[in-house]
Amino acid sequence: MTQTGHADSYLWQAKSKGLVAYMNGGKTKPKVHDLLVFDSGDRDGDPGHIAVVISVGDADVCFVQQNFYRNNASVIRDCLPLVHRDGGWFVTNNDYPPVAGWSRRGGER
Amino acid sequence: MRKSIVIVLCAVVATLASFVIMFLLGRSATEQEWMDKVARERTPAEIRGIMNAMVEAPLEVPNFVPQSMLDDEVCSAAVCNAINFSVGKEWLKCGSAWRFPKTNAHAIARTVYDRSKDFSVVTNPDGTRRIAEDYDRNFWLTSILDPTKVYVAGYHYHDTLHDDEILDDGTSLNSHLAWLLPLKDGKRWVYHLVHRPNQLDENPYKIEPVEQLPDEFDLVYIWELRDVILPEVGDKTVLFNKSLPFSTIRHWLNKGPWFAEYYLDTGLVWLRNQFGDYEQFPVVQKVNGTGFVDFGVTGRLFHGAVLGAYMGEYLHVHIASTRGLYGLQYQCVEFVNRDSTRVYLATAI
Repeated sequence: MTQTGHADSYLWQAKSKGLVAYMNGGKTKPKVHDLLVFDSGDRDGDPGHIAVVISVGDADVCFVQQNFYRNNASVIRDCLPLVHRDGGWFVTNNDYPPVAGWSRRGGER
Repeated sequence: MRKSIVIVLCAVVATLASFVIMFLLGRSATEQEWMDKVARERTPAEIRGIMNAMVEAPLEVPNFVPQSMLDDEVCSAAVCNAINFSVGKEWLKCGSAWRFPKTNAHAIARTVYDRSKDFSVVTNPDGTRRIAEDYDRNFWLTSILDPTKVYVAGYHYHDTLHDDEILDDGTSLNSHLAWLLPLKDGKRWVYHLVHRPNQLDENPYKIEPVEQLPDEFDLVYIWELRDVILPEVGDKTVLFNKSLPFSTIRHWLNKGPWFAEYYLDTGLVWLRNQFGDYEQFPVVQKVNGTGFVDFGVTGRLFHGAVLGAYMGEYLHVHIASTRGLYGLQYQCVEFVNRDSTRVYLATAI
């Protein structure tokens, strides 16, 4: 497990890692244990960012993460707004890179 | 000339005074921190939770002695303080390892294992004596130990310099102590102190499987402690350090002549800890709800410093990129890989 790819590969190459990818704005709501992937696109050249979802409410999704800083301080737990609109589930990014989607582990659906 | 002497004297007095003040502040801060963290007796579920957390320890194994003593050979204090911290009272008395059964007779229920008869006394050519193992035997700890009890193991270290003292004292044959921790991955773990030569940056406080103890350690006794009956399942607890790593602290230790070392080390460690949100003894925190715990660490931090935990996996500070078992250490992906391994193992069982 020493070299498993950049954070964004957990969404764009989810299948090869045994994950199931769900795009932001899709019909599937994020779940606890999902991997939230922040990235601007498959070919944006940016490694992106990834976090583990620890709770999902009606209006927000909370997650834990390593290596994210705000005002020079580590932020290990955070929440972002979750909106259900036009049949899709959207996680807005605030000061994070855009939320590209979430990947589900172990083939859970 | 006289003016120069006065200036030099003033400088010496001022320096000495500042060291005295640093020592007093350091000692007071250490005592206060210990009293705050050992303020009340813990419940058996809390003790079990701490013991479980010990075998799930983060990269830096916790120490329960003041940091000024981290470079010292205090295997007995390491174990006694760890147990006192965990039960939440000044229960065991720290002294020489071979006097443990005497100084702690009040806390020992019984000796559950004694193979002192497997050892004999050999006289060296220079007239000194040493304790030698005549007969090595196999045994199964699981058949000896009750998982609801707390045990201390007495080992004899082959190269100890204290055999004469041990024999003169006549209490027991062990030169080393270890605290027996719960099973994990089918192995029995111990907490103890070993300074390994030529590995100066390595934290001497170890949590390791019994079978991985160096061959130089021969188990002689196991003592069962009284009064504590542990439940099968403990509180979900994390035990973490808000301390600088040993590799950093050790550079602030062992200063000055031997008679001043304790005072200087106490003051210097205190001074170093002022440059950040650092503490000397571990922090115990219960895990509730989502399984997330924020350790509330602030101030200047170092690569790998522990910030919190999620489902028993620690969240660290990332500064440098060093390759680890789960990816570049402490990047976002590294945590995800560790957490995914935990999820995989939990669902595979």
